[in-house]
Amino acid sequence: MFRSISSPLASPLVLVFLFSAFESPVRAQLFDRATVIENARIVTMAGEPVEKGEILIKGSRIAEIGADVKAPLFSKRIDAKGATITPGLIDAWSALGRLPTSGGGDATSRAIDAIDWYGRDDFREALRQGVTTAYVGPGGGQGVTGVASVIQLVPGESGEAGTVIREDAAVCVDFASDESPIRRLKTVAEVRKAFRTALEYRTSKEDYEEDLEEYLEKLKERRKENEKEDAKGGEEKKGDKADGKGGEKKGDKPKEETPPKPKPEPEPTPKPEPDGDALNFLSTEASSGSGAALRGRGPRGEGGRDGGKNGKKDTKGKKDGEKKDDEDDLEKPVKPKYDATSELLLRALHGELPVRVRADRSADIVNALELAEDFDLDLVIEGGHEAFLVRDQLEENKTPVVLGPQVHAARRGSIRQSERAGAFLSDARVPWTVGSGGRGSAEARMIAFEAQLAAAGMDDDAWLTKLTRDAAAILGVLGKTGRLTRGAQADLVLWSGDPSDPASKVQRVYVAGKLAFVADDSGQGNGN
Amino acid sequence: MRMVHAAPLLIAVGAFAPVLRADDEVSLPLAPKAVAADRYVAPDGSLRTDGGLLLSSGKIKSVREKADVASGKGVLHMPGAVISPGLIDAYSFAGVLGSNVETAYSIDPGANVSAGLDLSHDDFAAALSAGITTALIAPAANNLVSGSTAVVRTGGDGSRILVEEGALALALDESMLERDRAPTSRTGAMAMLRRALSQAKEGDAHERLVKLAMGRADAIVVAGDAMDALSAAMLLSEFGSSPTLVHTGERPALAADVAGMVSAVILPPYSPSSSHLQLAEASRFSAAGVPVAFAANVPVRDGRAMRRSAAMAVRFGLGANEARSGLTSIPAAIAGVDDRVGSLRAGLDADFVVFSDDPLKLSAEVLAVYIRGVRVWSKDAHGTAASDFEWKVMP
Repeated sequence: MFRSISSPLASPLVLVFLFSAFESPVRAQLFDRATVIENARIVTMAGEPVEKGEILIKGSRIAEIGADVKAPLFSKRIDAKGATITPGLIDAWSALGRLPTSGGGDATSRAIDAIDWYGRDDFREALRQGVTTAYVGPGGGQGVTGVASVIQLVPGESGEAGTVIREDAAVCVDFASDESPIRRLKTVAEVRKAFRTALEYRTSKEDYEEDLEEYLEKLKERRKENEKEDAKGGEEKKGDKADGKGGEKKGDKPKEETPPKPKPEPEPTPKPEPDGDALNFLSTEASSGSGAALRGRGPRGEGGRDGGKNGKKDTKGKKDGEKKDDEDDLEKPVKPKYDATSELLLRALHGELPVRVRADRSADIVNALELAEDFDLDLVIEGGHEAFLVRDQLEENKTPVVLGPQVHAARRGSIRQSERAGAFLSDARVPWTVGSGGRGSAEARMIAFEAQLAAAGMDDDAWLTKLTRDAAAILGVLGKTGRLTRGAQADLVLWSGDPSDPASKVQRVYVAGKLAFVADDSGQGNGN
Repeated sequence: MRMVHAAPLLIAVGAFAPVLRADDEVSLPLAPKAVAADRYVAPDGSLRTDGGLLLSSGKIKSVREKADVASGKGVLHMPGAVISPGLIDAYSFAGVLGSNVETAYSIDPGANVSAGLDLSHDDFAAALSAGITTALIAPAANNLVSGSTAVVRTGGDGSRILVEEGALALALDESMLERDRAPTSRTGAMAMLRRALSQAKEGDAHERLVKLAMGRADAIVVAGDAMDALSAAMLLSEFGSSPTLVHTGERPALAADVAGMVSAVILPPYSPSSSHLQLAEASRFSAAGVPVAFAANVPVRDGRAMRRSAAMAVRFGLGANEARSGLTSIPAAIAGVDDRVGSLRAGLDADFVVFSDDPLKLSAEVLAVYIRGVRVWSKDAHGTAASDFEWKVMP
């Protein structure tokens, strides 16, 4: 049969076949299609809303947004039918995905270690309510409680429900947990002390580095000197070397400065390795106990790494016999013991990470402000029930506040609350947003309602701005999410109506350009 | 701060409102003779536009078109606002100091929660500022039968007790099981209740129990678990009683199962961690034909908890009109005072709230509260909450 097809015709067919089968860029375009959502009211958070517009999503980003976009070939077209599109909602104080057993509560706790990436239910319920990003703290404890992370609810390849977009988002401190004022004051004092300790630790590390440099310099010099001397007394050196080995065996003689070797040179200088690398003592055997003690080997354990070398070095020096370390001269400096808390706080002190302080009472908030002032920290207040009472002080450094859940007990107890907290803060130009409170993973869903309550008395869309653009700014991820602009990550929510109308439902959610949630046709998806 | 000096001025302005000239002038008279409502909540719970209320002697004389209400002195008008009946907290613990339940006997039909009420308690002011004008005060759910509930107004002058001895409060809930007196178990509780009602049917009991056993008394039953709810409904229906159920749990099938046996459902305030099943309860009951009412449980929660629950219920399937009714007319019916409050209808007391927007929108705030036609709370007069706490510069 094929014989009947003339060759000139056959080749194009073959080519077409080959092209479609193997030409990967074309296939890729066919399968990673761009998405165009049309016929929507787009609230961009970067200027006026687009009343009837379109969004083009390519890959993980928004490629174009406006009244009309140029949709490429093969793009998926979705008719929003008048739906409202907003940026994905951000829960700026969340426990989403965090396992209840996370515990912790000290500087080494990391929120990211406690997140259950396969906890699909809570993630799904959050997506259903338009939440795409969450700041998750380590949870629990007082004082310095650990490191928080920012996660996004992007469906993953192998089934995980989210990804991390900022692994280390803040150093978390808690001033609020204790009822007793005395204990709260104690916590403040302890945290201040921890920061001071961190500064001292930094100084001691810097001193160590300086001292080490100096030491190595001197070592170099000594080596040069010794080489000169060795050049003079070659045979003696050999003899000493032999004895030096014996000297190692005699290492159990305590407190003997000089091993019993013939020593032509009275100078107690160490003999460095002939190859010139002052620190290469790995070939030496166990150090002599006495030598090590005399040479200030320092504590074992963390410092032992260098301390070991130290000891070995001493042995080497001893082995050579002639050149002895003088106790006062050329002590190897001791590296400060690794301090996890200080290392963490140094990142805050260096401005690498903001410090998130949980404080509700005005006195605690003021304590946090003083802490930030004294140690030059980037402060964010979390909770802030009484923030409205100290809003002027917060305004001084534009300290942002992340409010928590907004329905309180009617009998106020010792913490004063205001139903117009958000309006007060805004009047005083204090940046703020709302979080679900960091207690339970399931609570992230309700963030839109909390924000509306917090924004009581403000303009209609104020709550939405707080949950998108402003939250992103406070979390330091505004470059990535929180707004719908060209080039921004495609985190967006389609609402059936006005998002502030409780009867509106979330129809679709895109996170990083991927369709993360679609409402089932029964409408609400409740009762599943 | 700024507001303090403005407050007396604003009250003065409000009380002696100048003649309205333009349609967008704000007027919040102390005792208006009419209300010009740009939007209002109708008796069926829907939001309607351009309504007018004529008030007289503390009652609503008639409901008309806004155009029928001549503008002028004494007419309340807040542009863009929504006039709503005063909210009714269907299950409240306000105004009680300490425990309001005698737990020595688990069946205590003669107790009256009104006996332990302090009407000047802060709780009422807090509720009022959230737009709650009436509250059904219940005893704590620690007894099988805790006596009667009461219905009170949260503010205003004159008599504030609408119902002194109201519906009987029952509880078939874990919180009712005490260690040191019977019943100590669920089965024991059911047996005890059945025995009490059977005896009461013979006439041999407190008159309230007798009435209940004859199916002639209103009852409100607290049942946390679905099984408690079902058992309670079935037992009481044997005695011809169709109680109101206070249900905190979550079982999708419950609504259909109890639909014929309960007259209404009160949903306690949702919390952020309420499951989506719980949140959808309201819509399931409503779909099964059971009216749904919301509660704030003041002082356990502040007054806004009711509106938040209503909004969340709508997000999870309840109709908006049903939700607004659940804040107003349905709790009024449960409390037996729907001939006096709960709707904007002719003949009812002029208890209403001026909201800045649809009360289901949580960003809406309370601008003013009127009880019996007199303004008892306004946002400006009472300042902002901050002024409650901040130091005032005394003039």
